[in-house]
Amino acid sequence: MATLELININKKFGDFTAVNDINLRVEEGEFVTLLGPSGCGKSTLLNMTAGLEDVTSGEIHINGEKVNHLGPFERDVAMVFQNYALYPHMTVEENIGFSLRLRKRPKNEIQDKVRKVAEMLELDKFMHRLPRELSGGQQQRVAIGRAVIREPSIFLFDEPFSNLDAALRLKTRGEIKELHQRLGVTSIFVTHDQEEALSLSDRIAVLRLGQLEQFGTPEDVYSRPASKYVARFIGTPQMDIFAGSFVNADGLHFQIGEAGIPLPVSFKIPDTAVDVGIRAEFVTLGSKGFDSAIRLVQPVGPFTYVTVDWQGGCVTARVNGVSHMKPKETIKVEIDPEGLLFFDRITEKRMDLQ
Amino acid sequence: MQTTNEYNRKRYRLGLWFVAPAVFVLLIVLAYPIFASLVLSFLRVRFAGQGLSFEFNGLNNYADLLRKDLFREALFRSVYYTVIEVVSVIVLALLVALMLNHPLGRSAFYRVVLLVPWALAPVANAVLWKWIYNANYGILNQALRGLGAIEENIIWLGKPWLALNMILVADIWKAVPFIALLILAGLQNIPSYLYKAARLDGANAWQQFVHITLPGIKTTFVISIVLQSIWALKVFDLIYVLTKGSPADSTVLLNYLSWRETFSNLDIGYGAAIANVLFALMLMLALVYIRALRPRQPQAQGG
Ligand SMILES: Nc1ncnc2c1ncn2[C@@H]1O[C@H](COP(=O)(O)OP(=O)(O)OP(=O)(O)O)[C@@H](O)[C@H]1O
Ligand SMILES: [Mg+2]
Repeated sequence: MATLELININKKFGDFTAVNDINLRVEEGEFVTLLGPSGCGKSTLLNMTAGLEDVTSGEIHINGEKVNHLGPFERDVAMVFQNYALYPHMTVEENIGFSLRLRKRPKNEIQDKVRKVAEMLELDKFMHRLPRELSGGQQQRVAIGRAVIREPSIFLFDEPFSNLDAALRLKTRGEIKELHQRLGVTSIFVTHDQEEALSLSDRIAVLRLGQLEQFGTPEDVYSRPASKYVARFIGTPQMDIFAGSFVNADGLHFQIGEAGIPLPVSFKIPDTAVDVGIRAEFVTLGSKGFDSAIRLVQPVGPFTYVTVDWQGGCVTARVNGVSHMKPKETIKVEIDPEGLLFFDRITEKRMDLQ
Repeated sequence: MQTTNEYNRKRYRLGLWFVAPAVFVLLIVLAYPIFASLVLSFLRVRFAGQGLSFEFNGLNNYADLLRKDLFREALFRSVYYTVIEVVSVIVLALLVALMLNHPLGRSAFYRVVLLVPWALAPVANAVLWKWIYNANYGILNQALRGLGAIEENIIWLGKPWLALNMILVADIWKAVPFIALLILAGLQNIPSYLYKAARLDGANAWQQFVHITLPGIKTTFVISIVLQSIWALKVFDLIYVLTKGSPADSTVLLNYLSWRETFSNLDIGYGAAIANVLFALMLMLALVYIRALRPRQPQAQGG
């Protein structure tokens, strides 16, 4: 177990800045996710942490010691790659035990350890198979086993689920979380799937174009996103955003088109233009509010997402259970003021006004 | 079902017509000579008056092989030649390929330069080396004298073992580029993430080479060894140009012997018998080659 600190990390490929001045401190035993869209520098950051790639500038500290000059192995980190990177000519047993064999550990010690790890990952039946004779999920577990057996102080995962089908992803996600609870090893996990990040992490680092946009708990990034970008990136369905203005008539309102949403008296009115973000769970469809036409009905099991035309845009509501609403029907829309998130229209940062 | 079967049969028959011309050509240029050479090896062929006379000779030509010292010596020399050539070419080609795969060697310039020996016509290559080795005017003697390595000119092609080894040098020089490119392609097929994984597992450069690089080019190695063995067994032009088998038949290898018995000594049946021995050797190598190229079948059961 270890702490990890990234201090003013920069990475340039020629003129292109892939990672821009990132600062991040990961506590002992923490599970941190690097979240962001494709190309935002997640893998680059992870590779620099692993020592597979040099930093252009900045310092990496593990357990308080600078490790910039150390190779991947000396940093005592283990990594699980997106495509597993199993050694194709080695059996499952040899793949998992490779690091121990390199260190010339005694044969029976290697065997014992490999067997323990394999049992934990339910791989003991496949010990003598080659990677290509395994399913994707099994290969994935071998890759994890190869990392686990090293008993590293930090685990690094680079989108380890992206080659798995949806059901297996969910299962493996649970297994990784259990593994982390059991071993308690500091882990950095890269993904572009916000739901994965929310469900796994102690804290999430949201990246955008090589910059750190927000670093916080899943609750932070979901309920208190630092910016429009984070708000849009996190949560299903995507947050709806409207332009509007404050109106003080008959009590304070936030006016979006013809709809005025009442605000509490304690509300602090800013002196800049603001946009407002609305999450689906704060939108109620029923008998109060403005008449709106239903556009789209998407059942997802426990909920149905109903998208309606509203004030020159669209807003999506979350309805419990299966809804029998139909497109083109008319319904009234009400917004819960508690759920509004306000963003500075220019800087796109969220403002704490309530 | 009836109609699809009918349709497939028609397709199949039409397909046969399409491949027929190619098969016909192959039969003429490949199968016929092989068959003819096999038949010839059981005959005694003599020049009588205006034409040739053929006479059944049983296995006598093959019995001769066992009886004649020259064949046994040529066989031994061919084996020596092949082993040395294969080992030297593979080792040198691996080194060249590793250099070309290094970031500093990636420039296309090196690959073009590398191909020059391979692109030379075989006889041109042989003539080139004949001049290099020339005892009086050859650049090899001049260079070595200039460096002070030798005082007297050496007659490179004048001493039995020396001559054979000098032919080997010329042959290796010509063969390395192709094998190096084969191995280079093999090296470039090894995904870089395997090296990353190995570094994380604590492998140093040498361990990465042993555990990732070598297994990654194993198939390429097998293919190279087979191709190079065939190449070495059939060497002819170099011997023909450089030594014609001299001195004292010390550079007579199997293929050259076969040619000489057939076309110089006009012992056509015997020459054919030698050629067939060579053919059998190469056929075995070719089978290994085909096995190596066949994609591996995934095994259904693990241990
Ligand atoms: N070796 C390289 N040379 C030049 N540019 C690179 C190199 N590696 C990465 N980049 C660039 O740096 C940026 C970040 O790449 P990176 O692989 O870290 O993205 P990522 O966030 O992991 O994306 P993905 O989710 O698609 O894996 C990309 O725009 C990429 O084109
Ligand atoms: Mg990536």
